[in-house]
Amino acid sequence: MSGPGAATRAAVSASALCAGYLATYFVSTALPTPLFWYAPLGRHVVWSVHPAELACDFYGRVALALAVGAACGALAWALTRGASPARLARALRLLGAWTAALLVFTAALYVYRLAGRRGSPMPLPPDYQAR
Amino acid sequence: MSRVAALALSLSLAVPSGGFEAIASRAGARSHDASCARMQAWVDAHPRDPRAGRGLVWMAELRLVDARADLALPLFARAARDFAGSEWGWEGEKGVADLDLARHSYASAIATYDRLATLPGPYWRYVGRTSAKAARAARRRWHVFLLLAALLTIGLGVRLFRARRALWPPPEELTYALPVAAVMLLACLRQPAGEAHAVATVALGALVLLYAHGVHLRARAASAPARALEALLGLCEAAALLYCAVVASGLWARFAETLTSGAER
Repeated sequence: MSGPGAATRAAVSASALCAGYLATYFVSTALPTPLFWYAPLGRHVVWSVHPAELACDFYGRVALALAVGAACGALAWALTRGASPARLARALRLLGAWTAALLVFTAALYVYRLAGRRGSPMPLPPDYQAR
Repeated sequence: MSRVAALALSLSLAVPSGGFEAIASRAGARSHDASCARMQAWVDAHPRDPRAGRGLVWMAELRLVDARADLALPLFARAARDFAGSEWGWEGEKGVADLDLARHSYASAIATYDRLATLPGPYWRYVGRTSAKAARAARRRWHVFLLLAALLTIGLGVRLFRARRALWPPPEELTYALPVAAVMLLACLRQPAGEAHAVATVALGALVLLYAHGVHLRARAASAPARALEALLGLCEAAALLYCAVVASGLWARFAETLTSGAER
């Protein structure tokens, strides 16, 4: 397949990647999912649901979502092999709608979670002396 | 720790030494059934002991920790009857009223709370007044729930009836919402039962509403204004479904707190 058909097939795969990425981002946020967390103070990575030390989950969550999204994209690429243009167009419309719905849903979840967040400072070390 | 568990623990810790105290203070070391059986035997052997009322309420609270309202009710009722006019009799009355409230028997619960609010002393005045106020609000929500549930059911029935010749295949709109419903259902797997019930109700109920709207629009060609009206109705139905799910799952207080205090409180 080449030309418009190949382009549509690539678009279907990209949409599947986006939908898988967003769904994983949402589910891994809503469920206690073990992830790689980066601890900037110790400069090391922790595999945990929620580490006790100061750490950020962003890189691990994005990596997990990208991995699942890539798997979804590859699956869509394999499943659409030899598909008719009409079928590809329908799949693209459906996956586009799924991606849009998941984007709104996941973004709303994060806006809701972060809107009222107030950062709490780490406790000062015991040997700290104010200058 | 839940309020009920905390009360059961405080009742256990509050008692001095002796037969009664040995049973109450060792509740953590035995199963609740075994503790209640021992306390029941003690209460039956000492029916006129002033601590028997406390023992009855203690057993009832343990039963509530285990979500056994059916076993807690007769214990509260006996405390209210046999120790009327005492602290434990009033605790028994309040326990019965709380269980009435949970069964949507609002009139009897509110009457009891109002009566407790007339007792001497600031504690019962406060408990009676705030409980009666909360019960009246819960009754209003329950009536709104019944009204909305009836309207949703009627709307669903009318749409399905009008589209009865074209119910299959499912409309395309339904497939658009599938992943959102799927992630919602996945997300409620690790939630407490009440919250999982509410989320699952919203996710599955929304799919049913979407199906009804889809087949209705497919079966009856509608003008653009009619479609806009249908979309507006759909949004109202989604809000009504959310309200019904929250009220039916007993999550109204938590829902309101989450809206006002944010996600992480």
